[in-house]
Amino acid sequence: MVLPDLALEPLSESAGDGLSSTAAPELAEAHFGYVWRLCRRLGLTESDADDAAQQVFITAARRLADIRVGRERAFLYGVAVNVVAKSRHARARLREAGEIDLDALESELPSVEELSDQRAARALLDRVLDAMSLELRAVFVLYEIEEQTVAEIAETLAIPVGTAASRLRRAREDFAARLARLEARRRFSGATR
Amino acid sequence: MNDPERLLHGSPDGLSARLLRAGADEAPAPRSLERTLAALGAASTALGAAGTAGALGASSTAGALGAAGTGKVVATLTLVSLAKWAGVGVASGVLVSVAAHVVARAPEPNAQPIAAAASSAEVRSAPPTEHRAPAQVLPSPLPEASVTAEARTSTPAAAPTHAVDERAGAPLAAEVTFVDRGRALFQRGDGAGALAVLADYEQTFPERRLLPEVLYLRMEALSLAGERARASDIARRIVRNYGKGPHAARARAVLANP
Repeated sequence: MVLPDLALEPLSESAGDGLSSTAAPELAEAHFGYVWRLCRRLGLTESDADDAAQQVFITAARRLADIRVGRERAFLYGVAVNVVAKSRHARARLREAGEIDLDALESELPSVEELSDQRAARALLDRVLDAMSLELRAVFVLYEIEEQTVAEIAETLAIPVGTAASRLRRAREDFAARLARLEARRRFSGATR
Repeated sequence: MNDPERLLHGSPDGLSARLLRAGADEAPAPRSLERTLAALGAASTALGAAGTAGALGASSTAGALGAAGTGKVVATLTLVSLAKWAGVGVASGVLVSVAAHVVARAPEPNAQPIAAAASSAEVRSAPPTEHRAPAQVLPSPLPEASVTAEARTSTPAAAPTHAVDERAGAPLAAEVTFVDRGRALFQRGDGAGALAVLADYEQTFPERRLLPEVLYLRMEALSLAGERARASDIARRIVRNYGKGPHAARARAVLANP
């Protein structure tokens, strides 16, 4: 199945099923935002997302022949998840070594007024997403933020459509419950300030 | 089966919709893409060279391009950088393609993002400490697993001045800069120095995100130095571990003509 939102400009095709050896820049141009945002929503800081997205496309450039036309995002997603996992692991090691100030990361919940600020809203969003399992988080991000269809997500994750739909339902419930808890805490802390 | 309505498109006042819109609206800074395009020029160094006979011969042309490109025009920094990578022996269609993209995207009239991309390593991380090894020190062309084990357990004779763990999670740009130093030494004819620097790469950057490119450079440097057997060892590593990669064809050519 060809992902419809990938069909903006067909990338250069190789003689086989994969992309041509000159398609790397096109691939980056077409999907850099998607990969970068994915890295962010999977838990990386902006700076780390820059590096991770770069690494994803370098990896892709080495394997262009393996990337089937129309399945670019599925390939990039798989690479991105691995790169993000490594980056988060490295970051966790730094935390364990005390090189990251956890107190600085545990900031106060933003107020309603502060949520009008996009950055504060993203911080809260990431806080909720961070508490979700990767399995649910991935489906949720692809559907709610990247606006892929359930069928496309199933293709991307190489899972049955029914499984994708089920994960999405659970992810939405999980997200709503976590957000409600955070909202309740925010109201409580606001009332006691 | 109909997909459920997205929370993103829910009530504008709803908290979920607000948060998700904030997430969906986020975009990388333009310089992030520029950096990636520049890095792709590095990583795809040999894409067009795979299978190209006389790659080293091409280095003189590419080297001249690099030398000619070392002008002071800021906007050409990325091209110079890419051309320098080409200097390892590549007349790469990909390289040209990447360069064309970078040029096409260069903002007018100010090319600052390009310059930032080209010098991102300097901006984002300190360059590695200079520690040139004696000319006769050559990296050991051990098999992948042996090198990995060695890098993790032993202290090299020419140990880096910084701890290995400091590089864990280091920006990719730092790796590009480091490898670029090895390439520059190679291009100047200091094959032994290049090999020493590139040997340190594996110990300095545990993540080794540019290992295929490093192996490629080492193979070419060893070939240039007449170290055919060792070049063949590296070539075998490339074929074994990156058999589908862009350097595999060149590695096979080295193996076919030891």
